[in-house]
Order: sequence, then structure tokens, then C-alpha cells
Amino acid sequence: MDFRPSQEQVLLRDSVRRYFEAAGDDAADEARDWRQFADFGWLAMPVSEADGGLDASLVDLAIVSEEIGAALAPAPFVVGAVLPARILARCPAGAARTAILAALADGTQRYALAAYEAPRRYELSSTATRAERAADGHYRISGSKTLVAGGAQADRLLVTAAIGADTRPALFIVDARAAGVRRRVYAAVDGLPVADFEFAAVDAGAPLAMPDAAPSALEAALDEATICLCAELIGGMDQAVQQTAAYLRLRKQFGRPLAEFQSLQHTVAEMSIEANSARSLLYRAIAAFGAGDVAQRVRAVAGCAIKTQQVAKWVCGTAVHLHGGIGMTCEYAVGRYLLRALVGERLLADREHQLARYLS
Amino acid sequence: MDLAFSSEDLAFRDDVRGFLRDHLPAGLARRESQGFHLSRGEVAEWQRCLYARGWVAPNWPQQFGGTGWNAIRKYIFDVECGIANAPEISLIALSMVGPVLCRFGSPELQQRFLDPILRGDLWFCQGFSEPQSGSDLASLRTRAVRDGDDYIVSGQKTWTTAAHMADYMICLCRTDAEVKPQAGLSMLLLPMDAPGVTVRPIATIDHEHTVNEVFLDDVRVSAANLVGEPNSGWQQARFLLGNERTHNAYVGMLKRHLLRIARLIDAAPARGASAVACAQFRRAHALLEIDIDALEWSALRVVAGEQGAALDAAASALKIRGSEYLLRAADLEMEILGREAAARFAPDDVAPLPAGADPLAVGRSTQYLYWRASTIFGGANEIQRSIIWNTLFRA
Repeated sequence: MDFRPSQEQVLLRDSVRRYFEAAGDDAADEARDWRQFADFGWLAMPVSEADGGLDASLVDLAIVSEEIGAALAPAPFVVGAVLPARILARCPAGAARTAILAALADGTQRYALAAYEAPRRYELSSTATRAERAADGHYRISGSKTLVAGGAQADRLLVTAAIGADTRPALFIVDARAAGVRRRVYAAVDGLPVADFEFAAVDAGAPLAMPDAAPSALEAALDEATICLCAELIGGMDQAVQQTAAYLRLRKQFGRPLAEFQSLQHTVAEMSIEANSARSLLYRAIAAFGAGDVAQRVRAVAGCAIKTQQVAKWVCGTAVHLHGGIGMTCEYAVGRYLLRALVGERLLADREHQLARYLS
Repeated sequence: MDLAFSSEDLAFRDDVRGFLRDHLPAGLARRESQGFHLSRGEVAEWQRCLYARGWVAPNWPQQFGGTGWNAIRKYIFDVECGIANAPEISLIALSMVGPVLCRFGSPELQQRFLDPILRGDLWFCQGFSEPQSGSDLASLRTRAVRDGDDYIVSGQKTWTTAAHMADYMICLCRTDAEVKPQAGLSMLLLPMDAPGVTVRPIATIDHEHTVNEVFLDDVRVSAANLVGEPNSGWQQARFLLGNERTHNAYVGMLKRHLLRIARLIDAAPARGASAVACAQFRRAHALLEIDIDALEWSALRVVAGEQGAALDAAASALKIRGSEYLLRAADLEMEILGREAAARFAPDDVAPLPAGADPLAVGRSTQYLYWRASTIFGGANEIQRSIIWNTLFRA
């Protein structure tokens, strides 16, 4: 057992950190960032070697995610690279899959998972979106998906749809600009774009995965993405804690720095304990993934998500509070960590959904 | 990073489990599981088992009778003992006094004390806290004045755990009042049967006898019982208190609580708990389990050496959360028990259970009340939060 990052992992962390120190966090630069991610090989990290990727470990993916969270970077690494790549890794192998993943890894095509539906909350084991087989042998998809993260930038969508009498989802790939696709882009709470999609008999070709394989592929890939999303929140929390301590040392009231007030010192100590607890569960979840037992994996990932989501909101919210009025401004970063936490705690699965998985 | 236990560590864990299964006396484990404090006689049997196996002093250097385990194995042993309801044996002698003597004691003191401590023939109490010196330990006033070959010790110690069962006190006292408080302290091994020592029990809200007041009236202690150099007591005390950084996380004890909570929840419907209540209990159990998993992995990060310079902060965080979760666990147990938890139980071999009571109810309120002390002892949680601020954020 060794929790120290390897030499290569330290280099990876430093290179991601250096990139964002230079690039900044302006959402307008998101497309440029994505091309850079491709050039640095970061988009190839979640792709397996068999498909021409780098087959990076979850620890490595978490390191990149953590730095993205710390930098408040707009590029959706987790939902735009890790999630689609890990879903596809669990679809049947072949030339089609390899071509999709090659385009993902080199950044020429961008992908998003279009699976969540308004009346189904976080339930992905069934879907109201339909896939009908047409006379030409292609499937035609009809239905709607909401709040697709990374959907605004996506060139192609991984869409869940049911075939025939089955309500379980199969998985299809759809051109986001194909005839019959309507995309509506709007902002999430953190200011990053999301999209709703309506599909009217859209040509989806052949399924990537059938209903016997798609649900478990989705669940496992979502667990990996959840681990990376937690890493992102942890990266943000650590920054929020550090920035808060720095602010308290600087800001004077009653003739002395706020950092001299013990009640504030102790609150910062609590913030750091909580952020660090989430990190411990992150390591545990990654370890459980490596061990291979599905029930243990589900509990470890759910536990990590429940704790991380809860403490991210508290830590970042308390960071806003300790900054006073300035914490409420758009100008200061701490408020944006809170916004990321608010989206992060409900994008893929919320606390109640994870608790139900944990207790099942 | 390597986030898994090595196969050697897992084999070691199986070894420990096998030993506990085969050698831990069932009656003792049952008594311990109820949460009452055990007498010296009850624990002696278990100490003999551990002594025979060579596992009595994981925290000592190997040449003095330690096990030679690395930090991960010590941790595994600690947690497995906790889960199996093995009692803690003479914590002060084995985890505190022993390591201090191995490190600072003269060969003569080591010769006299170490083996009897290993065998359980000598028990110690810790004479640190005083009525006016709690969290501010360095302000303590008990004086030791040199008189020929002896020191004459006078003062008062309090919250002295196990003083009524101890042969010796490891007594922190002031030997120089002219220097700054930390620089004038010394550590003496004070025989509890010496003239002038008076032990008076302190009645605590858990109705257990664990702590005492100890009055020291001109107690004559041989200067041969001084640990190390005069006026080096603060350094030794810091070493002693820092010796078991992950112990205060209480991971094994917390896992013991989690197992009992699961059993209480299973029994709750048949004992009249509503579906709404049971769902709430299961939820509370899950959330506590997740927090304890986080604590366990935080402890593993400390024992695997991740923390480096931030070790002090990490150890303080373990103590804060460990104590808070003990209280939360004991509180949840009482909540699940409902009305039964209002009774003050005696150990079930001392007095019969109230009519119809769940045998698992025995000791629950006692343990809840005892764990109230855990946020206070070992450095109050507020002291720990200040340590975290000072270590990580003061700048």
C-alpha cells in the first residue's frame, strides 16, 4: 500500500496544472482547450490500447480531473472524454468502435452521453426513447433527452433507446446535426452549457450495444465517471480551502487579521478535514474498482459520491461565507467552486440515488 | 500509487483473525463487547495469550520484546482486535510507558520494568492532568524536589485512569520552577503503594469507575526512577502522546459499533419499530458506515506514510472524527433501542436484564456516556483543530 504518486503521476499533475495556469478559465476558450487536450494526449488517456489509446489508470484520470476542478476549467473532460470512452470500451469491439474512439482521442469528433430523461430522474435501466428498425435495416430513434452535459459541443451522441417491447436501453450513436435532431443549448448553474435533444425518427444505423449489455456497460462507465467527477470536486474543494485561509490572513477587521480569530481557524480546520475525508473515499473507490467485485465497487463508488457531494457543497458554501460579501461576487473564484459543486452533486446521480444503490 | 493491501498484509490479517478466533476467550469478548470496563484480573488472561504469541507490544522496538511490525501491520492488528471484541490491555503501560522507557530509560530502568510490563505483572497509570492543568498541560504544578538519593513529590493529579489498579504512576512533575514551563518538567516512575499516595475515585456520569483523583503528599521516590535526564519530561511526554497517532481514530472500535448497529436494526421490526423508523435507521447506519470508511482510509494514508510534514494535522483529524463517530454510533444504538435505552444496565452476569429487554441493550447507555469523554481526552477536539490550523494554514 502506497499513497504517494509515482514520478510519472507527479509530471502529469504538473503538466495539467501548468497548462491551466497559462490558459486561464475563460469559457470562450473551451474549444481551444479541447484541441490542446488532444495534442497533449489527455483525450487518449481513457481509451484502451486496443483502440489506439493510452489506457490510463483511474488514478491518472482522477489526477487530470482534480486539476480541471482546481482550475475551474470549462472543458468537460469527465463527461466529454472519460464517460463516452469508458462506455465504448464496454461495447463489442470492432472497426466501428475503434474509429469512434480514434476520433474521440484526437479531438476531431466530440461526444456526449444522451441518456437522462425528464420523467426518469437518474433511472437509466429503462428508457422511453424508442428505436425502430426501418426497411433499410437502420434503426430510427425517437424521443427526448434533457440536461445533456457536454451536449452543446458534441458532434455525436451516445443515445439510449429501447427496441421493440423491451424497455431496457440499447446504445446507439447519432450524429448531433443529423436530420430530425433538435438541440436546445442553455446554461447550467455553473455557467457551462448543457443541451436538451429531441429525436424524430433520426437515423442511428446499427446499435453499439444491445439491451443485454448496454445497462451494465453504462453503470460501470458511470461509476468511473463518478470517481473522476468526485476528483474534480475534490480539486475544487482544496482550492476553496486554501483560498479561504489566504483571504483570512490578508483581510483585517477590528485591527487584526481575521486569521487570528479562533472560531474562523477552527472552521477552516473543519473544511480541510472534510475535503480530506472525501479524498480518502476517492482512493478507496479507485481501489475497489481495481479489485473487480461489482457489489463492492458499487458501494465504494456510491459512498465516495455521497460523501464528496455532501462535503463539496458544505466546504465551498462555507468558503463563500468566510469571504463575506466578496465571496458572493462573480469576480471571486470561491463562489464558482460552489456553483461547480451544486451541478456536480446532481448531474450524474444525486445523494438519494447513490444511497439507494448503496443500500441495495 | 498502490491502493491495495499487499498479499503479505492480507495473509497477516488472516493470521491475526485466526489467532483471535482460536485464543480470545469467548466470555471475555462478550463482556468487552458490552462496553463496560474490565478489571485487571479479567484482562490478565488475554495478556498471557498475547505474551505467549509474542504479540503483546506492537509499539516496542523488537529488541525489547516488540513485534517488528511495520505501521500497516500494527494498524491491521489494532483493527482486527477491535472488531473481534478483544479488550485493550494496559494501554498506558504498553503503548505509552514501554516505548518511553525503551527510548529514554536507563538500562537499569529497562531491566526492572520492561519484562514485568510485557507479562502484565506491572500496571501503570498516567499522572499528567491536574485540576488546573488540562489542555494546558505545561502549566502543571506537582513538584518534585531532590533530597539526597530521592525526590520528594507533592501535588495533585486528576482524571487518572486506572490509578486504583496501577502499581506505578508515570508522573510528570516540575523539577525546575525558574525556567519556562516546558523546560522544567521531569518524568518519574512513582510507586502507587508509597506512603503519601491517596487515590480517590471520581464518580462519572457513566457510573463506571475509570478515573481518579490522586493526592501526592511528600511522596518519596528514588531518583533511580527518573526517566532520562532531569527536566527533559516535556520531550518525553510529547513522544509518549505522539506514539500512537492512529490509535485515537478508533477504527476497530467503530467497526464493532457498526456490526452491532446492523444487528439492532435487524431486530428492530420485531421489537415494534415502524417501517419509517427502520428506513431511517438503515439510512443513518449507511451514512455512518461511509464516514467510518473515510476515517479508515484516512488512517491508512497516515500509516502508509503519505502525509509527510502534515502528519500532525492528519493525526488530529483522525482524533476529532474518531471521537465524533464514536458518539454518533453509540447515540444511534440508543435511538434504535428506543425505550430500553433509558434503563441503566449492569453487566448481564451481575444483574438480570429488565423484562423483555434485548440482550444487545446491555451497556449501550454506559458506553454512550463514556464516549462523551472521547472528545475531551487525548487533547480536546478544539486543541486538535488549532493544531490543524497552525500546521496547515497559519503561514
